[in-house]
Amino acid sequence: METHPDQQYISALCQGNPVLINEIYSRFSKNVLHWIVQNNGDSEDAQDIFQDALMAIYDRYCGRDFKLSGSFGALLMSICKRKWYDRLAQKKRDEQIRKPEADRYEEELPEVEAAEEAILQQKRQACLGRVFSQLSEQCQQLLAMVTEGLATVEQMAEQLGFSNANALYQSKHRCIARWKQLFEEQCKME
Amino acid sequence: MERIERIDRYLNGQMEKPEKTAFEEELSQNPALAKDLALQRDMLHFLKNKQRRAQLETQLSETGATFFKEAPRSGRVVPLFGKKGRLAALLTLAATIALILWLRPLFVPSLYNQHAQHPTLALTEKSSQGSDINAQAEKAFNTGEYAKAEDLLASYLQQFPNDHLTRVYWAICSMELGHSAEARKRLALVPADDPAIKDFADWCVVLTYLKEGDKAGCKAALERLPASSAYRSKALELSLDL
Repeated sequence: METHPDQQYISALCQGNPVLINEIYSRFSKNVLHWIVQNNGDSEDAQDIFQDALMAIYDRYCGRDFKLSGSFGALLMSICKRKWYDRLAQKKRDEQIRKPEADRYEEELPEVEAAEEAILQQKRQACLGRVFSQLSEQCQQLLAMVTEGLATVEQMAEQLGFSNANALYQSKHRCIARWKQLFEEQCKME
Repeated sequence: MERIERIDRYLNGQMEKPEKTAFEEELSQNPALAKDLALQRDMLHFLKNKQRRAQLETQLSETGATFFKEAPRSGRVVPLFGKKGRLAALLTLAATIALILWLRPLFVPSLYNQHAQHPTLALTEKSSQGSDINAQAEKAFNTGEYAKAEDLLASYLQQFPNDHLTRVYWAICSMELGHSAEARKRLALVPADDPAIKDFADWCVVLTYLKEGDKAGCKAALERLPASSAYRSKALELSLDL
């Protein structure tokens, strides 16, 4: 699949490129602001939703083998709309949204799917974060250290008080099992 | 537990080829295994991106504050004047705008002058050798006598060719004298082994284009600045002004 030119915006988010992130705001924030103000929100809501949508894109695409297939602006707008619908529904003000259903039909199917996948991935990451904080200090430290890969297995074993590398790996797998169990108990995604 | 260990080894590239092939074949036939793999992959993603994610949130929050200051409000416009009054008001407004635009260059510093705030050159504290040249070069640069500073720094660099920070100042002299292309050639010689000096040199490359009034070149140079550049906030300010 050919790389879409807007892939540069995804890379900018992944790498924290300030110039292109600035361009993302410059190019796309006005439309989102206008739409949210038209739908019973204000600039503060728009800023919050816009940032949250960019984080959803980060969670979906960064560090993964995914390529953007359509326009970045359309995907961003689609995520912003969904997030705003959800927020209004939570506030029980959904009757005040102007023709939300009509808007849904105006969007292209690939964008809708990509937006929903990004939001789902963001929710998964947020919930993984919540249950990660319920793990023991030692588990959190061990998983972080192993992932960073800055020290050798022997150094990590010594630092974390394990007798050898094997004991460290066994403990790592127990930590993952516990994390997985907490996720399955507490995170209902669909 | 055995499944967790297998998935972990698969995700970390620790399986030999036959084992990997067998695992992937099993994945295609076992949805529960595929579901567990997806979850462990997301866990790994979380761990790898935890710190970077927090940094991005801060960065977006700072950038967003600039772009979402005011929301457009819909409301009815109430005219203040009648037809004649409106015409007079429009003419007055047009005359005021024309006057402001005409006088603007006298009061508003150029974009280059706004952003090219060079740090002071501190050469005398570097070496006792040739300290007279050092002091003269330092004084010339810091008082804006760039032609004199350029000559003196050239002499200094003949003695200390590996002083790359001074090489950047030498390039600044050239830029200030209107020789941006030459300045870029000098900046291109600054190696990447000291990130602080390299960041300074990269920022000066941006300024050379600004000095020439080449906005496209300036934007391109801004885009080339690495995310870790110490000049990130300056770059953001400049990109807003371009």
